[in-house]
Amino acid sequence: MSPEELHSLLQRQIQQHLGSIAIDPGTLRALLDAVSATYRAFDADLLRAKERAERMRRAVEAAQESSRATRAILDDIGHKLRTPLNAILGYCEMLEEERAKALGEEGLQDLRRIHLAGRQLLEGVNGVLDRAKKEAP
Amino acid sequence: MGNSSESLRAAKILLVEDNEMNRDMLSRRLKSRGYQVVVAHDGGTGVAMARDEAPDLIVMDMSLPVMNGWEAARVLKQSQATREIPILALTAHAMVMDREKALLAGCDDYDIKPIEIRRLLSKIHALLEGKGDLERAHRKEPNS
Repeated sequence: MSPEELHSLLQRQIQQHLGSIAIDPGTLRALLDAVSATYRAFDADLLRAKERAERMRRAVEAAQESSRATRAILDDIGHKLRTPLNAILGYCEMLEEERAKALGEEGLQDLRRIHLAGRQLLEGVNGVLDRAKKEAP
Repeated sequence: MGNSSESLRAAKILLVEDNEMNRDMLSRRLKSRGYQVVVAHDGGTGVAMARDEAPDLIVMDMSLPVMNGWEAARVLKQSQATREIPILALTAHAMVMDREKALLAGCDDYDIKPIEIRRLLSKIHALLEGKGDLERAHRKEPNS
């Protein structure tokens, strides 16, 4: 039932109830106007509340979408950084295991430095990305 | 029957990895430990090679082109010819969801990248031993 239909139904009911009672037409008019005004105000409030709820729903959706996008970008950055790091660390370990003699003591020490720096870089990458994910909206 | 560690070391591993350097590095490290290694560059080729090469174990990265690792695992576990081959999934560090997805897709175990060779080798060993047990149980050899 639309607000207009509700309003006219109410008007008819009041007039029916008051039909047999002698009432000043001015007072009846005023009463109907007051009831009408209350309904209109109520309708307007309801509409505003609905619009507010809709705006909030859209804002929540936008925030969720932005959070998903941020996480996807962070995952992509992680993958792009860790893939070559995986290779750097793996080749370092391979050389340490298989080419230690050929490298000599000095060469082996340099290789261990590269390996250590790679591990530090990996820890740094993991730390930064984990923090960014925790703090992502 | 041969020495079990000897037969394990001769096992054939199918390595499915799209990154050229990681593929080279990991396949060489596995070969240097005595495994026979065949490689595939994407999920689709991985599935085809699992059928053609009948490896003892599949080590598969999950983020692969053409067909990703989760989908490839699902296909492999649905096919009669390949469902018995254990799959070890490689997933990115900290992506807990990826690991759960890998097990749900039918992978038998997972390890995280960047790989730690000792940890990876012990998982490979455990899966190959498990498979050996499974095959022996199926064959019901009287002297095993």
